[in-house]
Amino acid sequence: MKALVEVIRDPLRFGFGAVVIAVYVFLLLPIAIVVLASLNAGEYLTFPPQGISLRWYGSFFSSQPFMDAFKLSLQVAATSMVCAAALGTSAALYYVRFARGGKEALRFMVLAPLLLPEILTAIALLFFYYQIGLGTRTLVGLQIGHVLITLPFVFLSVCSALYNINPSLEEAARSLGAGSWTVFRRITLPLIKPGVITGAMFAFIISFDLFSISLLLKGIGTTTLPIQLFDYLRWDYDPTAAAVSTVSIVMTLCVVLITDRLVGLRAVRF
Amino acid sequence: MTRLSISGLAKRFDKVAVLKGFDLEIANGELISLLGPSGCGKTTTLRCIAGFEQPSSGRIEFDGADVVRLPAEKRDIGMVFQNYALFPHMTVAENLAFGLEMRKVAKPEIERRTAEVLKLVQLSDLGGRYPRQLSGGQQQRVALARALVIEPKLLLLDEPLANLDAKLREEMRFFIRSLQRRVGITTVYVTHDQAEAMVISDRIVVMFGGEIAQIGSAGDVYDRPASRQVASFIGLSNFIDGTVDGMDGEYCNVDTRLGRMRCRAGGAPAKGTAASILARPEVIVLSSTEPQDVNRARATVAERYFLGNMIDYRLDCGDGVVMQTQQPPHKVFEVGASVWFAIPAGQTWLLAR
Ligand SMILES: Nc1ncnc2c1ncn2[C@@H]1O[C@H](COP(=O)(O)OP(=O)(O)OP(=O)(O)O)[C@@H](O)[C@H]1O
Ligand SMILES: [Mg+2]
Repeated sequence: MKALVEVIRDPLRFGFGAVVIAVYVFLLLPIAIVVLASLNAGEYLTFPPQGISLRWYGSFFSSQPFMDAFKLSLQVAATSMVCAAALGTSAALYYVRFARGGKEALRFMVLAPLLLPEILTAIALLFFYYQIGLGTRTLVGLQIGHVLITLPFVFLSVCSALYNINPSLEEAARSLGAGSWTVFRRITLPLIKPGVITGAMFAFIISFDLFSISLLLKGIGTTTLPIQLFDYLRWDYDPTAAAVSTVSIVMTLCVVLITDRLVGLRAVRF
Repeated sequence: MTRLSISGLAKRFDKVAVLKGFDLEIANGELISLLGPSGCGKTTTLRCIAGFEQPSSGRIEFDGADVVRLPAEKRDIGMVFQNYALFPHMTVAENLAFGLEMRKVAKPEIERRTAEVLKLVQLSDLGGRYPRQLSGGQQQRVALARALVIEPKLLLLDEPLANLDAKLREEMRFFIRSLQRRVGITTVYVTHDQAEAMVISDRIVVMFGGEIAQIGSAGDVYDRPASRQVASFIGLSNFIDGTVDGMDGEYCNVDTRLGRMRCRAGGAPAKGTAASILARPEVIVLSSTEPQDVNRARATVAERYFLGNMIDYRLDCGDGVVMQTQQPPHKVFEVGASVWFAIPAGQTWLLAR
């Protein structure tokens, strides 16, 4: 009987392993190809590459439109990260600790941009901005759109961190004489910090990568990196695009690694 | 050092009355335990005293000053939680220092007092550890130290030993008791373990359904329980139902199905009152020959269990009356044997039925 179970289970385990590997290959192969293509010495975006060179990186870093877009994307992503972290954490605190009536409505409102197709949010915002006269002349509208989209990530990860805090900890701090602000600063915040960091890093990556919102809400003359890339690919088909993608990939990877280091180290302490 | 007095304390959660308005006076330096079954309102009482719950009505006074309007952080209370609630991101020393920092105590003074209290709970070497690096018993003592280091007016403990294993629990009882004596702090101790309450407290407050059923020493609540409910909650008990026939000196004569019995009584119940006699299993004496005692009857041994230090018997007294008794292990009676049992009148107690 036991042997039979083993025989049945082993093929299952083997099959499962094979599927997992296949999925990974499917997901990671395009990335690997992009990275390899960016090192191509030839004139066109082809695979396999014809010789190795860093010339397309040079072309990326010396291209004014790409550098402007890159800087703008970094700036927008950093701003989104900070705003989403602050707003998302506050919203999560209010939702978990204080909200009584309308609690679910609040949750739905914060999460709605995550549930709706991005393009719908973008169109809605576009109409709204023109209605109220904000328009798309400045970057304010674009920035608000990015915060709106990235907010749910911070909200969700901070909520789950808050739910995991033992409520007696805060009571213990109060009984020791700490007022509510001190309790928050000395107890709650350090305990939800991993959640805030994770959420903030997500916000950065998502915002850096956001397409539809940026496409519709960007002003004339300014553009973010994904859109610049898209524009570029319409006319040129050289490996600069691959170099840009690779830089983005490396940056995303760095953010993930930083998060893992920060939060990972903290996680060991708890 | 503080005198705590509670009057008319009531608490409702959405219309459900959890505390039904009781009074309680706790003297300076006294340790009282709140003892009662699950859900009787012990934790709620403690949380009202600590300021984590707002009473629906009633007064809570520290040395005569009403604190009901005072937030928890202003009440100057040391509290030990069932799950210890040590701050996981702080070392033991930082945990202890927290309350002192809130009181703006100077750094050197904080270090001195922290070290002193750590010594008191015998954890001097562990100041640099994080809570997760400590055993359950050590965490327990850190929680105690953290509550004591601020030299609070009042120490509140909510089932502080519930998460420890039986042996450690026993040790910690005595530890907490002797520590409390040395520090001399007024203490409220919540537990649902009667043995713990008996060992640790000056007085026990027995609670049922949000009300106080009895306040008294361990001897009072065990030997002279206020009601049948208290008697059956604390320790094992046999109840022999009967009718009061009148007083005979300080004893009361009661007619029962086992015959007429003499019994200690708190007051002087009127003739004809329906009552129950409380006989604890360990006071009953079994013998194979007829005893001299007034309260005696015949029975058959129905069941027998070895408990190690005792043998537990179930006696069939006929007429549907079953008694439980515990005898020293050197007296052995076989199942099915016909025996005599005696209940010394001085160790019985009459309860209203
Ligand atoms: N926040 C609350 N909201 C509603 N009901 C509550 C709340 N807190 C406690 N209760 C109810 O009040 C009653 C008393 O609870 P309490 O926690 O004081 O019991 P307890 O004596 O400490 O029990 P235990 O020994 O199980 O800890 C219970 O019936 C409980 O369901
Ligand atoms: Mg409780």
